[in-house]
Amino acid sequence: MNRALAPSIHTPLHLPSIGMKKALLKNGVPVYYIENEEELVKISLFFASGSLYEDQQGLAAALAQLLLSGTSRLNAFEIQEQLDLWGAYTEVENSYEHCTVNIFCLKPYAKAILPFLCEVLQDIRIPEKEFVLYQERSIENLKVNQQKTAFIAKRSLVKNLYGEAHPYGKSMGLIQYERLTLDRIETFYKEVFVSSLEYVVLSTPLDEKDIAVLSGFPRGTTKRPLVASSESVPETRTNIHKDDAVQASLALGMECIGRQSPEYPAWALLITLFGGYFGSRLMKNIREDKGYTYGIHSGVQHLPDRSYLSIRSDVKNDAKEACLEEIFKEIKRLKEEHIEEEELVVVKNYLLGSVQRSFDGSIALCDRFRTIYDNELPLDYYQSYIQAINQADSQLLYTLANKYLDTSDIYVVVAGNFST
Amino acid sequence: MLAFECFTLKNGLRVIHHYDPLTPLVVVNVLYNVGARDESPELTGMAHLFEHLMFGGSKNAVSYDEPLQHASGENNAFTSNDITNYYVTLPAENIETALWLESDRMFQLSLTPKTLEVQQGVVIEEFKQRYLNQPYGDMWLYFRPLAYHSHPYRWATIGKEIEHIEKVTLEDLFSFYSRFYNPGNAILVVAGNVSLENCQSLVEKWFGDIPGGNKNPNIYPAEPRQQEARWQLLERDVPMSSLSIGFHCGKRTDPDFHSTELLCDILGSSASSRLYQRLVKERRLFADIGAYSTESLDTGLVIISGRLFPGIAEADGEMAIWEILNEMVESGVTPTEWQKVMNKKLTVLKYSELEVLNKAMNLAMFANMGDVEQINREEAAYHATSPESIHAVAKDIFRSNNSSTLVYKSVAK
Repeated sequence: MNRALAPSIHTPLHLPSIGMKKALLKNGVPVYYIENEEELVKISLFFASGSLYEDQQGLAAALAQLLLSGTSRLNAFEIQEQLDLWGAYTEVENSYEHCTVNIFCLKPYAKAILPFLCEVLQDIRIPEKEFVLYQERSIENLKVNQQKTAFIAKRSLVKNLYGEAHPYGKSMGLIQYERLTLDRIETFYKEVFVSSLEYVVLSTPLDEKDIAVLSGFPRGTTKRPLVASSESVPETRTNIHKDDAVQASLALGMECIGRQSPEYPAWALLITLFGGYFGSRLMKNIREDKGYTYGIHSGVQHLPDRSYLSIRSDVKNDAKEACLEEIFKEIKRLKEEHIEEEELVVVKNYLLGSVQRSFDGSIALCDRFRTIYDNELPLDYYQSYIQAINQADSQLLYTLANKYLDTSDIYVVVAGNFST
Repeated sequence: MLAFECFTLKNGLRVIHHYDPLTPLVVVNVLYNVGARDESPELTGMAHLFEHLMFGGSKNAVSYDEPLQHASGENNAFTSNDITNYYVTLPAENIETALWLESDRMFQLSLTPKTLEVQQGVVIEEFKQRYLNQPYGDMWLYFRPLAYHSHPYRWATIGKEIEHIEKVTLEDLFSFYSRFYNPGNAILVVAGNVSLENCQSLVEKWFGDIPGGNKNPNIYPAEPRQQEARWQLLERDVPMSSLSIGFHCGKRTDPDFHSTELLCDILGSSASSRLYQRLVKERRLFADIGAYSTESLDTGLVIISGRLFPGIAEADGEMAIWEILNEMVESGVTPTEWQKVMNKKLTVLKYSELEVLNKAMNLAMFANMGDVEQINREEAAYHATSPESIHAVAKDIFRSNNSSTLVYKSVAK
């Protein structure tokens, strides 16, 4: 056998179809599920009551955290203990669009869990004590995060990109936590959350009788919330000094095209080649050649109706300027040189493999479906996505780099020690 | 029930195959029986640094990552105090690329001055990023030497200090490689959409000609039974004071392991757990608190760790934790508490069988512990626990002279 000869390879160009089945509840809420015979189920309830629906900053996130903290009949401990007894793991997730209640459990328990959860979610009474505790814990956690250069840099970046008043630019500070009141959270619950169930996703089918209980929620809006236009700050470079920082955190970014754009697959390919995987140009240059960092990453961050390119790294404090220089050098290369076929094939195949892996297993399929649903993409979106990646050539990437990578639009934040 | 087949090559490589026809993928997982506990006290962090060097290319594969990415694969690795584990996920059709790369670096790794120099830099930045540039990040750097005095668990996998990483030489690397990186000291798991026959012939093809070597005897200085309460104070510019209390417990392979896990869950794994309910919710002393075990192959630790609300004295927090531990030692746990952590554990066990990567790693871990069949006895082992067996563990470990306490006192600069 000749070890020097690399084995031949096959490129994964076929994806399973997402194959979601759909049932409608009496209230008109769609339930999507995957046909299989698994023993474990992930139940996701999507309520259209994320942060974009709030009229005071922090209400949606606070409600999500306090969602299981009491009803007229049960306190937080009793709710949690009951769910534990059924072996269930619950998480409540808050995003811009949704408050999502996820439950993982063995399938036979779903019959008991769903009516219980519906009762809880329709009868929420948050005790004052739980609210105060939430407020205090959030403030203390914020103080811890404010000591992390990576956290400081990221917050500053989105503020610069979108403006302090924009939902994507503002962030929760101490004052915003102090301004929260239980009264406002309860109003948000009554006026928005309780009538906002938009859709349900199950990783395996459940009995029709068991899910019927979800029709007790009035159907929520399916209209996407409007996102205000953003107002970025004029200054693109921000330095934030932190006395005892032993590393500097870099956060760079610019607004860019998102999944709705026909150019997106090739753009995603370009950004992956640039800094989106272990073999990327940024990793090779800044980690593997110079040893300035443990890791550097670029990627497209997707927000409702907006996307931005992000480049982030924690680097050796005295190499911060050198790293920035290298990052801009690499951008320049993308705009000036055509990518060699050899490099392009590697990144294409890598990306195709990562799409294939993101389709493996029913829980992964549910996540892909969610992306399609929330972004109103066609069901065969990922099939077209991988075809487009496969067809992209170096001329197209060169064109995109020159069309979109305008370095004067890139915001740069460095949080680190500037006194040495 | 997870179905699998085991076979061993002539050079001593132990192989486990698991067939999963529902995935288009295959996972190739290589576990080496070497971790931070195998390092010299003068050269700590070596096992982890070596893990980085394993990606520097080998005789016939100048780059490890590039051919794998070309074959649509993804890979990573981690080092613990006990083991070093490397894993690859790729399309099942491309399994040979993974076997080629893994066998070539097991056989003839390239160790060059340039790779060493760059990876020393990378690891030093990792040291800073994870341990120094984070509030409470250096906890394990202090906690390990407090809790262990003789056993090599007394240092963290990243190493005791940056100087150790800086002084590693190529010679050190060669000797480490020849001692630990050989077929006799490794376990290979192939899991996914590849048949047993195919797996057998391909593994033989790529790994069969690697010369055998010795298995790590895994002999370490025993940690003497702790006879006194240990306590250390760190003053730091952190917003909240924190407390970590560790207790020596059994090994991962001891019969009371499952009771120990459930004990930790009852104390501090969910919002209905004792520590959280009493100390966060009812008494508002801690902003967060939890309990877990290190699941170590030698004498492990049960750790209780929490952050205090400002204004609460560290001593009061400590006393409050001890009240709960003493109560547990005194009265044990209730059948309801046992039932809920048991039911949650069963959900977790099922969850761990969903993804092929999880299955592959678990098979490697159990094989390394000596009996891969144990993977299918875990559920029964949890069923065999009882409130009484958990109470017995609590009585055994929650003693003041078995405790090590590390306090971060918040001092604003």
